[in-house]
Amino acid sequence: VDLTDWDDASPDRPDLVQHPTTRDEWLVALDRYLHARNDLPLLRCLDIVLTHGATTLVIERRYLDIDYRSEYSTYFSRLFESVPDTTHRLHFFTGRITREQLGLINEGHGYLGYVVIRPTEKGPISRAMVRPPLDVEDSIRASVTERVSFFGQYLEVTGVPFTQQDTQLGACAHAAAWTCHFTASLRGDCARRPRAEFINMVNSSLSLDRTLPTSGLNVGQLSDLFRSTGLPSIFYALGHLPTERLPWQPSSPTDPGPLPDGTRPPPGTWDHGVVPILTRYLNSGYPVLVGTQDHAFVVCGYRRSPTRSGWIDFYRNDDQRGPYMLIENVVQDKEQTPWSTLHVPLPEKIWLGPEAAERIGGLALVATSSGIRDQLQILYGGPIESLQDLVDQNRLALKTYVTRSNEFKARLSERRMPEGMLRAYRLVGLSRFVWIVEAVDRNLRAAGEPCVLGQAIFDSTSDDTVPNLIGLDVHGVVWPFPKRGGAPKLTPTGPYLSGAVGPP
Amino acid sequence: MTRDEADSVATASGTGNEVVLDDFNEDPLEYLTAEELEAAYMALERISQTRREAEVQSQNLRVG
Repeated sequence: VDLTDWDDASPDRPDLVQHPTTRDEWLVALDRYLHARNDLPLLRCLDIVLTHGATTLVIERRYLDIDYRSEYSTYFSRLFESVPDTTHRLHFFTGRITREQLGLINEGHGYLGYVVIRPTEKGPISRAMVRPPLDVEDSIRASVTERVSFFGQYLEVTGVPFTQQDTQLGACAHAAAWTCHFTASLRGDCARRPRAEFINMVNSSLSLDRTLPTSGLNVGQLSDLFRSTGLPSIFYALGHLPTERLPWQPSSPTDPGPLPDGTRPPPGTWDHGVVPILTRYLNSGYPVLVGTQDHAFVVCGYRRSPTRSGWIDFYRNDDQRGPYMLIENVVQDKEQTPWSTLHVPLPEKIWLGPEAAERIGGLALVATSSGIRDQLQILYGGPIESLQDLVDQNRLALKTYVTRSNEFKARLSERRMPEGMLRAYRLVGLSRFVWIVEAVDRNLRAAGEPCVLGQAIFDSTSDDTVPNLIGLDVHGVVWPFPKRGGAPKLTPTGPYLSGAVGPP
Repeated sequence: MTRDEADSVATASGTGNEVVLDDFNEDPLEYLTAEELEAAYMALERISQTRREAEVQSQNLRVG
């Protein structure tokens, strides 16, 4: 990182607006920010914006980044060597923007996001928010939208926040925790905290080591950090994941036992039970912090593999490699040591866990479908395929997610539901957050058709031992709030769209 | 089930989008047998137990 004239923010400097046309020209334009200890994250950001066809780079100097400023106060200002207290913010556009248009840009600018560069070679990216590559954009389910002030004009970018550890003040664990936090902040789940608070608020009494220079965080410190920043996390350990499945769901993995040499393989090499756990939170739009044996990163998306039937590809923001990196196999992660733990920071009042909701929701949906089928066939005047029929044909999947009940109600109209069902749900009071368990027909999903045949709704403030069912519909019969005497209503419907985040 | 039998258990009232099904169970969980519910709640207990085990096993893990 070249610090020459770092604070020169004169509007007539030649590098203010640039239009590189080839990747090599882009590398020249960004050259002063390269040659750090680890350039991979910045190069990854560059390659992402190039996939969108970026044509304009605008370099905003003397950008006062709240996150870097907090780190400056906590650490950089205390170094013997002088370090600037400002950053450079790099903006990327698909549209061609000239110097004369700054402050007056029109629609069609194609804003792709920004990268904030801190003046240190130890980890230059203070904060970045770039639009995901087009081919995976809807698979990045933890995406949030940030409003960016660009020379007096507001622009928007949707993606998952990214930061790079500086290796001394913050490690990968701090970076990953901040990523989850800033995502939640942009979603409105908590107030924003500057990044240095993620160092200053670490409970040092939970570790034998000093906090500065950092040697990372242990899992207890991470949990405490999330709790104290308003997003208490649900914790999972591979090898000790909830293994309770419904009889017709795929079986849980089992410990393969000792190897011939007597050692035991790490759970991260065989416990694929992590897949349904990750997808439930990503269906909800929440990122998940993964701890390996020596590293931490954030899983931010998944998709059904276009090349391997039945396979799930995940995506992560890895502070050492960059945003939206593909994870081909969670139990044979070639770029990492075996996974060990998951932290899922969530709004405090999501007390019910997804495993319990899915267990009861799946049972209730199948049993109710079977219980009402004969009566419904008379009312409908034709045969109905029950959910048990789908189970028998290996066609039934469950999709589970948590959402704000207001969002759930508002989005019902986008899901091709009949008006009667929509009103039945909208007119009852629900807990602020609700867990939804959807019954999905795999064949319809594969065909790209509306595929949800019913859903069970749970009060997020109930507990794992007795999940509180507060709504259910299947085959067009809806129980809007059974425990308060909400009588079942007939609202004939075909399959409707999923309410979860991202493609079905 | 014949049409007559069905009429005796499936009556509906109301019109349009507000058809109420008088003879359906008021709580969908009533379609589960007592044995099914008991087995489900035992499974939920095991989920909670697993979570406690995970915490005990992970106390000394460090990342970063």
